[in-house]
Amino acid sequence: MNGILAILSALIFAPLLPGVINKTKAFFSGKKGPSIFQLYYDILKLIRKGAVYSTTTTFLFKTGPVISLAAMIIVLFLLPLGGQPSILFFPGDYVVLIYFLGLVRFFMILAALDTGSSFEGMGASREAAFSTLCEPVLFVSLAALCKMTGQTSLTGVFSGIDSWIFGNHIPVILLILTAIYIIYLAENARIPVDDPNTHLELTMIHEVMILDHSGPDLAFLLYSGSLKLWIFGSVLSGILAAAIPLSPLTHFAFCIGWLILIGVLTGITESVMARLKLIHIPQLLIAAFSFSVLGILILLEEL
Amino acid sequence: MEYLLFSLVLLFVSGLASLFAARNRSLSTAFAVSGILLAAGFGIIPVIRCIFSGTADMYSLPYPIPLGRLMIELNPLSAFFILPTYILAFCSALYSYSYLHGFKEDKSVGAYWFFYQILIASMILVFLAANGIVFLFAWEIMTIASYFLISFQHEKEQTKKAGWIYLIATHFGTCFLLVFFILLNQINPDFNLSPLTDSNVSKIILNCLFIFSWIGFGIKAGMIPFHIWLPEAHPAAPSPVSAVLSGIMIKTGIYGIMKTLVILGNPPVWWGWFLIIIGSVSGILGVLFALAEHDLKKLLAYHSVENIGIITLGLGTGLIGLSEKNILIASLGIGGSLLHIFNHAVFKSLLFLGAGSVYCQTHSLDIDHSGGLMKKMPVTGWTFLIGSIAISGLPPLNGFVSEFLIYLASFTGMASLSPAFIMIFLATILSLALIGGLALTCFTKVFGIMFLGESRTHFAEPVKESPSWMTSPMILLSLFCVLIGLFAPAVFKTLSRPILYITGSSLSSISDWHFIYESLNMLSLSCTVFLVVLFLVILLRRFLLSRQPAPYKETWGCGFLFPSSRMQYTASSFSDPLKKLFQFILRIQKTHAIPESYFPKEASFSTHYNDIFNRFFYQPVFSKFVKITRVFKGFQHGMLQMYVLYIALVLCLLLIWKVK
Repeated sequence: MNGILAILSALIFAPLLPGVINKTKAFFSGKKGPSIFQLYYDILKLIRKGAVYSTTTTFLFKTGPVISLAAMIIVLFLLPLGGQPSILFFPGDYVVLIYFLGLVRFFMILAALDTGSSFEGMGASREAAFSTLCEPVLFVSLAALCKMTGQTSLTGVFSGIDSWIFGNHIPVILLILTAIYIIYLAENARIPVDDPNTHLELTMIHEVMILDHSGPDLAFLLYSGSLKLWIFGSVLSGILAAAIPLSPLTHFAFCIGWLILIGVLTGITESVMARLKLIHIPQLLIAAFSFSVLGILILLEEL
Repeated sequence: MEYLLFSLVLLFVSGLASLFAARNRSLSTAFAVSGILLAAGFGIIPVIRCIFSGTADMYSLPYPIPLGRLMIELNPLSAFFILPTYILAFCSALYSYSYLHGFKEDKSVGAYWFFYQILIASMILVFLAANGIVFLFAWEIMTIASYFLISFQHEKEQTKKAGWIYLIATHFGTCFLLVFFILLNQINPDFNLSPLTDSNVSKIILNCLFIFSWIGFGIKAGMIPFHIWLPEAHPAAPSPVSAVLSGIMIKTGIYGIMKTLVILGNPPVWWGWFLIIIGSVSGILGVLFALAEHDLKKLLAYHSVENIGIITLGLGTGLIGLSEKNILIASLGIGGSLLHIFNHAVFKSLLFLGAGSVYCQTHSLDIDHSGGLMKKMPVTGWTFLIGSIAISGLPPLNGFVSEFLIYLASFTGMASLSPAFIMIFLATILSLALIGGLALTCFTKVFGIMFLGESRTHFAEPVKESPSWMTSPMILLSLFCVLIGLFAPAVFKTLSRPILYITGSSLSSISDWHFIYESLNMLSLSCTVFLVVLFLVILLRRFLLSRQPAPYKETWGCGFLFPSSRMQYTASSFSDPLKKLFQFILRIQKTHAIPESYFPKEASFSTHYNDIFNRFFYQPVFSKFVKITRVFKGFQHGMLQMYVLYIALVLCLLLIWKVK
């Protein structure tokens, strides 16, 4: 029951997160900024419109958004939120979770290449390269959490981190949180890896891949993009919320609070930083990787 | 067992029949294909019975051969390897029927079929052999038959060279195997391949045996650094042959290593470490080399190296579990390794058949030459897509299930074994993650550039779908990919006997079995839920678009009015960011002519990739070797008198030695 509640809240509130980020950015640049509900308006507008397809494309162009949305929903089934077990939890469920995100990437890249446009090819190529570097970081961080709690499922890991473990392993947890936060920024196409606002094709990664999508297809992509923000944010908030023992309901509220705070933090990061040069992005991702490996090494010392 | 022997005889007889009927192409093919169909029908019965019942069936022929007896045995492990052999042999044979039409009339189909049948029969005999001599005998026949198949188009210089490289590499391996079997004979008399009974054999001999089997069998399997024959031989061979070679023949190497482990028993922990390191190096370098490659079949060959790496990783984790007496980790690791063997056989041969289907139409294997094939060859495109998803190890297809098992083994090992093992399990997890990401990039490259977008070259003949003889085996194989992915728990149940055969002891507690089945059940449940959600989302999209127009226009060209298909991203530009990042390993050579002056006339840019092991190790070593052996050229000059003198001299020497 609680699992269904978690999924429903994700499905309903996820489009708020980009709103929170944009509001924070607007605050920092001294503007009023778009409404916090802007993404809802955009999605509602887009699903009432028709779509235009390129004559070059095949059915794969249309599968990109559809698979993207379906996979994000299945990931929500696997993801525990607010100390509650997820609907589907089993040993190794995080492997399935990460690989479903990989499936999304596979079809998004193909959809981009399907248009035959070199802009989209360029975006696809960068997306493939950077995500390849992100995946190992997630696995190392999860491996550290697994070792810390002795659990092999995501639900087990999140409920296994109690305040005692949290207190004993603060350096490790901080390193892992930093690593996952960098991946959160990279995977969700945020500054300093990618700029969601610019429409200069030469600097874009994610935005340029979806240039040719329109109408409901674009709505699906925007919606699954916000779900992805929610998913990565939940992993971070799941670890953070474990610090204090709480009753289930407050725990849940606490998690949502962290999710919004992470959104604000992202807004701040985007406001105070410039986008990195493309050739420096691998260095950032390798830094995230080093953080997670360092985390494991410290954990080894502590054991 | 009688069925299996009958099936081997059928293969041999039908091979001979098609050799004699070579004049009449269709008759020759008919003999061979029906021979394979019958042989598979007969052979598969005892194989399936053995996989499910787990009882070994020993057969010893009454007459003695020198050095031991002629013994063959059908055990769960060999049955598990024979099953895909029959499936692939049948699929590739059907495919060959159409594929061989592409060759000119003077090409002898009879020889092709004869060696094809011999290759299949000898591979099955390798899996069945219970005696070292029988094993080596079958091993050599297999090598020679595959050599003839690889050099089927021997009129091409490149093919001839590839054949030689294969023959030399694999005989180098056989050298080590000879030593291996002789050494094994010291501790296991009569060249028996049964598990050792003597428990106080010296550690040094066991370790030597393990290393020899790794080199000898590793060359056949194509583990790095012994992989160089794969990217030469696969592009040279006809596509259905590549499918069989990559699907089954390289697995005989893995079978050899597994059999060795069964014979030696009780592995020390460093064997597991060793295999994990070898596996991760093979996996990561294999897929990196594939990323740099533009030739489709070479790329697929490097992916075989990668997948052998994954199989080895699984085996390594399993061995660590075995040596630590943790049967859960052992079963997961070895189970993942075994399942990946079957999966790789299915999707890699599917991809090779797809490559052949493309080649028959476009007469080019360069990825950058084609484009937009999805519209012209929908069946090839669909099946190739399924193969690509499967080989990238993505859910809900079969490649994911086996990788998931290996992941689960490592994570469980990490959580439950002592901290000393954290680093090695972390290495496994990391290699799998990196391999997965790189393979995904590589196959989006292949599929996206070849099948999507617009055609990059103008082909002389219109490209159309291949005949159904070629497409139906591909459809069959892609069905396997989907079914294994969705019915993972049932598949794992069939694996339990082969796993038991290797681990030697069954899972001690019910909770361990429960652990595996729970996670596999939930895995296939999540895949099913995914498909249901996908279906609903598609319906939603249909509904949303049903009320609105969806016109077709040209791709948005950013305001540019005259786009051409040559402006599309190419395979090399697509993989460029990763190639740059790994340039310190890949060492891709670039040659370019920069446009000069105010009115530049021409400019060019090309990249060339030469396998670093070739460039920095094999080529220098072999050219040194040739230089040294040139000294002996003086002895071989073609003068008959001198040769007679040599013989007389040797005889004299022998006489003196004997008299003394």
